[in-house]
Amino acid sequence: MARIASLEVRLVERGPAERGNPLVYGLAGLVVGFLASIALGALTPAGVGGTLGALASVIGDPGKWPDALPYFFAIASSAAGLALAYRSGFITIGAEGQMVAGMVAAYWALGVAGAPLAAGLALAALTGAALGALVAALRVYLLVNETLSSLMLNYIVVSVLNYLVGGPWSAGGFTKTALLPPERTMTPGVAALLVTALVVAYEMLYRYTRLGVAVDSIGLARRAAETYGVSFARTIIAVAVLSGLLAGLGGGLYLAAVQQQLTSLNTFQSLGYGYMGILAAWLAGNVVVATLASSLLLAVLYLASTAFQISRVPWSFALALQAVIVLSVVSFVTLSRYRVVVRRLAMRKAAEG
Amino acid sequence: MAAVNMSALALQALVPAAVLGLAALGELLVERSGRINLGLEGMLHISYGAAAAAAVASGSAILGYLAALAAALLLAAVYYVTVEVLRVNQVVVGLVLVFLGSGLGVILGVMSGGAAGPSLPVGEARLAAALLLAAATLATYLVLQRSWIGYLVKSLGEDEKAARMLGVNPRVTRAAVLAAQSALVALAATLFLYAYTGGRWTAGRITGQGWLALGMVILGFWHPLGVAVASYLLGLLYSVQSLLPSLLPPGALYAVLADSAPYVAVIVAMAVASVVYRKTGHRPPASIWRA
Repeated sequence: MARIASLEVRLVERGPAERGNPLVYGLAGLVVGFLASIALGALTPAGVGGTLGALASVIGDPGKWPDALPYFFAIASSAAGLALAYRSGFITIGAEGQMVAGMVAAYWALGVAGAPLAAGLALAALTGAALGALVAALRVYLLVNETLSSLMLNYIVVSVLNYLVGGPWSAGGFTKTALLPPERTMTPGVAALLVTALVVAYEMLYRYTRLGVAVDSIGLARRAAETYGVSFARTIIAVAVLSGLLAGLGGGLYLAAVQQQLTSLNTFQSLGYGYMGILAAWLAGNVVVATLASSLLLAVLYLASTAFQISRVPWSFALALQAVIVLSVVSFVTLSRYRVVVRRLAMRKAAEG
Repeated sequence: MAAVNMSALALQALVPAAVLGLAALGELLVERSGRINLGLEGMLHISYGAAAAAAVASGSAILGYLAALAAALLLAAVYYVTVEVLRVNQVVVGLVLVFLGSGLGVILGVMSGGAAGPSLPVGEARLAAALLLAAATLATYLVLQRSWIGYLVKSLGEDEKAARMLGVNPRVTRAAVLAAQSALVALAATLFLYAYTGGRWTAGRITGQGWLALGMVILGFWHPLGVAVASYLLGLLYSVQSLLPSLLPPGALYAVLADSAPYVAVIVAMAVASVVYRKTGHRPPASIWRA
């Protein structure tokens, strides 16, 4: 309830049948978010006009869209699993570390041990899954807050990567490794197709298996779910492993299809796609298959950040821009559950009197 | 192995401890009122950037703090409007604020042009850190544990319906708590700038402090004194970290721990603490408790 002059504004929860269409509200939120984030451009040296121009130069040029493909599959590979995890109430932010760990594992297999591509990708996925399982085990058996432990593991994984690229795996004295041999690389298009297929498979898993019921019931009403025999521990470990598996694979794919070598990272920026995956998951309303669309949107926005840099806008503006859009969409979708009631206080007082 | 000067370590720990402790005490207030602000990391980033921009432009340490405060209040206002008024999930809002805060923090920080603004010499920095941490801990303790205001805040965190019966206005209380959090976060960020980074802003330098501070609230068991002790212990770890070259042989373990010792320590400590809490029958504020 808020009082503006003599008006009283109140949110009244709508009944289940009266709720607005969340998709329509979400799209409205998207438009408002876009406008708000462009207004944020006023804070940058390029101003609102420059920001708008930089955005338009990417979004308005379909020829540039394929450049967003590497970002798209990297973001989607973390977002889909996170959507599943968030549905179950498991608030992990570890996809970033799982992706980086996947890259490291894949580089070890492909670049150091000389294994075939498929083996490298499988190892990347397993490494991500193992990290996911670790966070879940800490949560389930030791009650360690998963948000904090997963974030801290991200930082630890980045330190491991930096040690490897600066030491044992360093090429030519630089903080990067040698390039992978060409026969152990792939194109971003193939990687994107693979990730898309897996995201669809995750959606099927959610829709048509008991896991989906378990995930939703644990997330919505854990006690009731447990009464009906759904295991909290098994569900959380399953979503953590699934989420880590896809994020780890995404890291492996990013290595094989895009970077083809490891370079040092800082903990602040890191690789970044695992963090963007968090935004993409919430932007998609934690609907697994919808993360494909939200990841594509964030990938295009991220691509625009390269245009920002040319226009003297700091790269981090892309982060703020994505955040404003997600906040706006999430707020609008929440509003679809409420009716905004505006009353004139004077009239109510008269009625009461 | 070189002899370790314990008193030097104890003094060196003061600045990192105060940065973590101030941020954590603010979050403690919010969590005691029944909300979690995961956006703490973003608040620190934006305050750090704003403080640097204002302090470098004006040459005034006070203006630097005020800018940091305004920036923190801005994010707190976003949190308040979305979580309290629009009733959006507090976890999403918190995570989004991390991105918003770190993104805007860089935009603001870049305005300082990498120039050095006001800073505190080592001795004064440690004294200021010790005084600020002690004063903030004492004030939080008195308000939260020894006053009726604290009683109302905590009642809100335990049972919102019962608190309403007592006459607590959840919105007003949480707005006040968020404002107090902003003041403490701004203090942490400006102390970090003036005492830790010599008045000079560097992108991402403050990374991780907000998350560690969230951990301090858990390790300090939602009590001001506990939070201060936990922060000081982690501050000590920061000062020991600089000794790692003389304590550990060079190699993988050393290289990784040199970067991430605080994170490893906090994960292990949280695991141990939660077992201890369970055995002793303690639990966090009811409205944020998840078994």
